[in-house]
Amino acid sequence: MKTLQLILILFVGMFIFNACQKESIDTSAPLNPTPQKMTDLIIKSSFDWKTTKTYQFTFTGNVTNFVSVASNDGAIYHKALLTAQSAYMITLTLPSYETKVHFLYNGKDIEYALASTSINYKFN
Amino acid sequence: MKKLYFILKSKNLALLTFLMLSGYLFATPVSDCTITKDNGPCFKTTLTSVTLNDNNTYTIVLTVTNNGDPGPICQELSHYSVEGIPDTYSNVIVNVVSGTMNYDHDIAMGPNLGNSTPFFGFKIDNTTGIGDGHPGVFTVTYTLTQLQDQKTSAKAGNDFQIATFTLADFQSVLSCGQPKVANPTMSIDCKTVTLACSISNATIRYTIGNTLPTATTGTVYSSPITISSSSTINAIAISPGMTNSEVVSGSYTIQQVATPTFLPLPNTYSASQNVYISSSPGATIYYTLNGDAPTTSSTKYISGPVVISANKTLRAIAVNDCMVNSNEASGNYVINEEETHNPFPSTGFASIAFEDLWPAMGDYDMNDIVVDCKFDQISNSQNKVIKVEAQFILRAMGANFHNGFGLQLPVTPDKVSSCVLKLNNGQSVPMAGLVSINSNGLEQGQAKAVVIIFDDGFKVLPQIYSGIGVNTTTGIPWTDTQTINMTLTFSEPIDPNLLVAPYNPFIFANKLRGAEIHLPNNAPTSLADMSLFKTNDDDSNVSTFGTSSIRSYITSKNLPWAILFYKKYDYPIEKTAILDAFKHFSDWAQSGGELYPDWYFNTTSGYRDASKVYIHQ
Repeated sequence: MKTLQLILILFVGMFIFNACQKESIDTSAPLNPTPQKMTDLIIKSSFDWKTTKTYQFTFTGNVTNFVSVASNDGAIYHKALLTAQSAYMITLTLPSYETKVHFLYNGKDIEYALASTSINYKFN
Repeated sequence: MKKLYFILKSKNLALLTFLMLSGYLFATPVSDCTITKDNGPCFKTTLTSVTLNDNNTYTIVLTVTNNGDPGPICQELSHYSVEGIPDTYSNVIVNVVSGTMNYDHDIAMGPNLGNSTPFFGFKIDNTTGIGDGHPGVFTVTYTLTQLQDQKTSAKAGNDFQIATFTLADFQSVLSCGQPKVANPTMSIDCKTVTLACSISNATIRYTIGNTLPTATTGTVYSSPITISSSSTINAIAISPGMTNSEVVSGSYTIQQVATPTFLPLPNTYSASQNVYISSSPGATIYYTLNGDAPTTSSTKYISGPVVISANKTLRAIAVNDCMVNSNEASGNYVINEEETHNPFPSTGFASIAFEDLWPAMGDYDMNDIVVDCKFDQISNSQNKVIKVEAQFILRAMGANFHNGFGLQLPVTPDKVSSCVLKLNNGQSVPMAGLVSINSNGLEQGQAKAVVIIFDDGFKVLPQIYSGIGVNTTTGIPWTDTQTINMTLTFSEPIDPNLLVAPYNPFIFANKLRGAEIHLPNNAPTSLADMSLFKTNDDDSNVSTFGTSSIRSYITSKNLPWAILFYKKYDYPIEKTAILDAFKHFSDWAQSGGELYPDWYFNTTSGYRDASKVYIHQ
């Protein structure tokens, strides 16, 4: 009986392990590598079909001056007047291919990797 | 009386007898109420009495006396005259009190006295028996309609011996011996002056300014006097049977409220200004910003500041009930805010592509409507959005439906003051009349601001050539596109976090205004036909509308009817699924957008089947 219980526990454990393993699969991998038509696609319900990503930036600085968020090639995504000692929050829609941006402020050019959608940056 | 007492005390009975005989003692009122003046060395005229009659005329009694001294110093009187203002004198009666004076009993009344010189007054002419050693006393009684300065002239020999009685002399004699009305009193409360007199039945007359009141002139006081500026008030009290009061004057200075001052001063500024207004303590300030002159009906300045965020003329007055209103202060504030421009996309155009068979799936060539667009959000120095300028180009219509295209902004319509759409040539965008537009350029009947860019794509991009739609079929000539320019001005600055371009774009299909098709998980407008949801292939969840987890315009397999492209999108040729034209579309879609985010604009090998992508020849 104990052997049967052990086998049952191992079976259930394997099932749970496999289920957990399935959840940890890299979600960026194509779920259907050879779709023939649109309805063959396996699309996550959370996908919003956007070619953009939304980021929440919060900037603070010691002097009142303009702050810009720019692309690597200098295109301005956003520009605003940053008041000294006052946080400026802005929601920006950036192209999803963008992996880093530049913060231009008070003569400085700071490269910043977009590792998170919520960015809190304080200029020294 | 002192004179009589002296005479009696001196026991100079001879003199007393003379005086009694000459009538001097009794003709001359023995009181301080007479005024005597010399007409030369031998004649005197005494203003004996002045009586106010019921008809407001005055009876005057003059007593003329000669002392009896002989010539040549004292010559005989030839006439006695009294000058007066024309038409003010009458009823002249002469009475010889003592002596042997004779005269013409027809009193000569001026101004026509028979000689070449007009004479205003009256004359007792051809007198004899008085002067040159002949003492005598006579009285002259007459009526005056008004008191005045008067000359009396006793002509003896060649001399006109003149004595003048002034108006004050007449008034003095008139009032002598009568009780005097107490002077009126004045008090001021704020700008109201109250006059009073301790004599209950006294009448008060007053004037404002330099002219003094009299018993018969000036305004009769009946209620407190309101003065609006610094003034001098003169008042006299009159009561029957009493001597008029003195004229009293009071000068009242009504301070003016200080002209309001503005801080900061009117000037040109690069940002909105918080303007504080100040004036005298206790004053209430009223101001306008619309150019109108301020009044007490204008906006009351309570604690400030006045926020001036655009070019304005600030005008203000200060008011205090007990003071004169201030002068107006006025100043121009020029706000040259340094605007910031925030583009979407950062460069070039973005594209929005639609399938137009919703709620049924189409062929997914994603070219039924392809609109290129770019936005410029213009913000003020407070980083608030004041205007949006945008350009739209309907580049392709791979369909036969007459589709419209619009834009919903996440603000209520009242937040938009105007929205103007123009083609590049300045002309209005041709419309098919499928929608109703308000005067501010927004669509009617919407809970949020909705701009209809065009209501029929074929009006903007006409089908010149054969085939399906326009600019989607290879081999058919390109039809030139038109750029639609939009200028949308907000009625008040908007938080930029609310305005995330491209907002909520949508089409409405096949001339059906309610058949709206939006980007996935975007909300329909107020005019969408809600009965179409969850029909055919649509798997929207209406109960999620208005929530942050909205599910809309998506199939049960999570396929969309529209896609926004951050960069300009090269769409598939007609009836070619996007899946077949772009090699990494499926990778991108199935990875939730993580893989190949450049799938739609990367033209390097392996990214697209160029034969299936429409190329503008």
